[in-house]
Amino acid sequence: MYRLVRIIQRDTLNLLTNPMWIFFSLMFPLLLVAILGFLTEGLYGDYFTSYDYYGVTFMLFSAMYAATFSANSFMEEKIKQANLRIVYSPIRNWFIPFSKIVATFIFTTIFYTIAAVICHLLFHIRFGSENLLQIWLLFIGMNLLFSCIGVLMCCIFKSEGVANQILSILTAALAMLSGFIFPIANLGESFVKISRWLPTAKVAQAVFEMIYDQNTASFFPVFSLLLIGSILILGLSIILFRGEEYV
Amino acid sequence: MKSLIEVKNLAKSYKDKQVIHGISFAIYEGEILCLLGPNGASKSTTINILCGALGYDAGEVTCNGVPIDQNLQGFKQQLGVVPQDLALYEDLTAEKNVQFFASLYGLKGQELEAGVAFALTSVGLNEHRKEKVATFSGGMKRRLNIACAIAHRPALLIMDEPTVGIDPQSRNHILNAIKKMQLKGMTVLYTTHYMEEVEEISSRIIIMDHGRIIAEGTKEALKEKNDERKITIEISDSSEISADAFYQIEGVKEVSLNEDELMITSIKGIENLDHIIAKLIRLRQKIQNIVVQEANLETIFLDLTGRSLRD
Repeated sequence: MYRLVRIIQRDTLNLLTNPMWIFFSLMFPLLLVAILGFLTEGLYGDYFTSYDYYGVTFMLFSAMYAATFSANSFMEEKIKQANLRIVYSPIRNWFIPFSKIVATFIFTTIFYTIAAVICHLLFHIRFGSENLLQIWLLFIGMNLLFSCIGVLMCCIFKSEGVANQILSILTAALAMLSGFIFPIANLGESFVKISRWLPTAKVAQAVFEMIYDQNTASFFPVFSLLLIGSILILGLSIILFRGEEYV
Repeated sequence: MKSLIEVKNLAKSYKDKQVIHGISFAIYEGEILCLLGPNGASKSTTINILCGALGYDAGEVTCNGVPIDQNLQGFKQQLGVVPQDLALYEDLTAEKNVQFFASLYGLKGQELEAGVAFALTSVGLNEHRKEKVATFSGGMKRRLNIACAIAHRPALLIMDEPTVGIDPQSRNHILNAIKKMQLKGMTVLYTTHYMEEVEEISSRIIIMDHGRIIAEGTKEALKEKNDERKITIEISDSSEISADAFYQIEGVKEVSLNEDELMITSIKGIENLDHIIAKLIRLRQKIQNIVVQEANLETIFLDLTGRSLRD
């Protein structure tokens, strides 16, 4: 356990001391919300503003970018060599992907939470008051799921570059189909049907229900879905990971 | 001598290409075994298998008689690995790097501090322990790369070309450190391109090429097997002499003329230099320089593989 804790500490510190990633994790949601919120201001009402809409959807979209962070911390060239030395050491193989997921989860949870607070202060975005904890849990559930997906992609494609290319397409497609960029109803009935099946869309819907209807009925099933999905993907990553991918 | 590691009929393929062809060898306790070979000889693949980081298709690798797969973590605990590329965290200090990697071997508390001090002192970096790796020269990084592998005092230290691209001073530091570690009982498996390093530190040598072992033994034994010496004589005018004239001299195996140079390959142990010089004087040649080159590892390697080590 001591060795696992040491690896998680190191991986987390590697992320926390990377100014580029800190800047990106803070600025990415802020800029998206600011730009889209401003451009579409007239399309929304006074009670439910464009900032309220994009504040939620782009925080979820940013959470999907946890996949990029975990892929980078797993196989980014600068870190890969040091990771190779971890492969040579007497630790269990699963420590390596597990540690990257935990480290990314900690990093994204800290910085996306800070970004959400800044968004709230700057644009008065409503993230719910009575159900704030549940809403926050859904956001970090998304972080966890996508941290796992990033590592899984690296285990499958054995390259951070390829994994990130696929992840960019995947996150953009999921964001669009989940209605994160514009309401999905604009694309027609077929896309609405697809959207209903997407876990990312379910998270957004559950969050909006909790903020505006005080309806927490969807919280438990959606949160469970995120957790179960994360556990399955983590398990698959551990099965697929071979230390020799670093060699 | 007792063998620490035994490799029997080891074979490895990548997709359809076989890169290791059933090699067998042993690593004996307390020796420095040098693995020599040009690029593509499969030295690094062999080393990565011995580190437990790569799987293999056939054969067996045992440590103290126990197959390494049976207790891979226990086996890795006894290893120190110095990878070919620098495996360090640039943003951390030297001390923090060694501390982290040593902790993966279970070192903590005072044991960890003692291990870090031992490792940094061994490679001459103790004075720089609080400095960030990013500020280090290439040679210092190479030395730290070694320190990170020895803090837990491994029984077997595996080093994959640890002196690539560094200054002579750092190289000497590293070679001295390796010799000191051997004196303390550490066994070392060392791969390199540099013959002079092999000459200096090796207890035994294995020469590999295209995934096969083509020669094995001490450097003295390998040189003994090569019974040739090369004599190069700078003369005034080679156009006036014929190579055939020298074949009559006892021990001469091969003669070639190249502008103002006469090159003779002769059997070692037959003292014929005076006869060669006498012949040149009779042929009215002015001798400007003579170089006699005994067999060295470089020439042995060239003879065995037909290519130079740095090819």
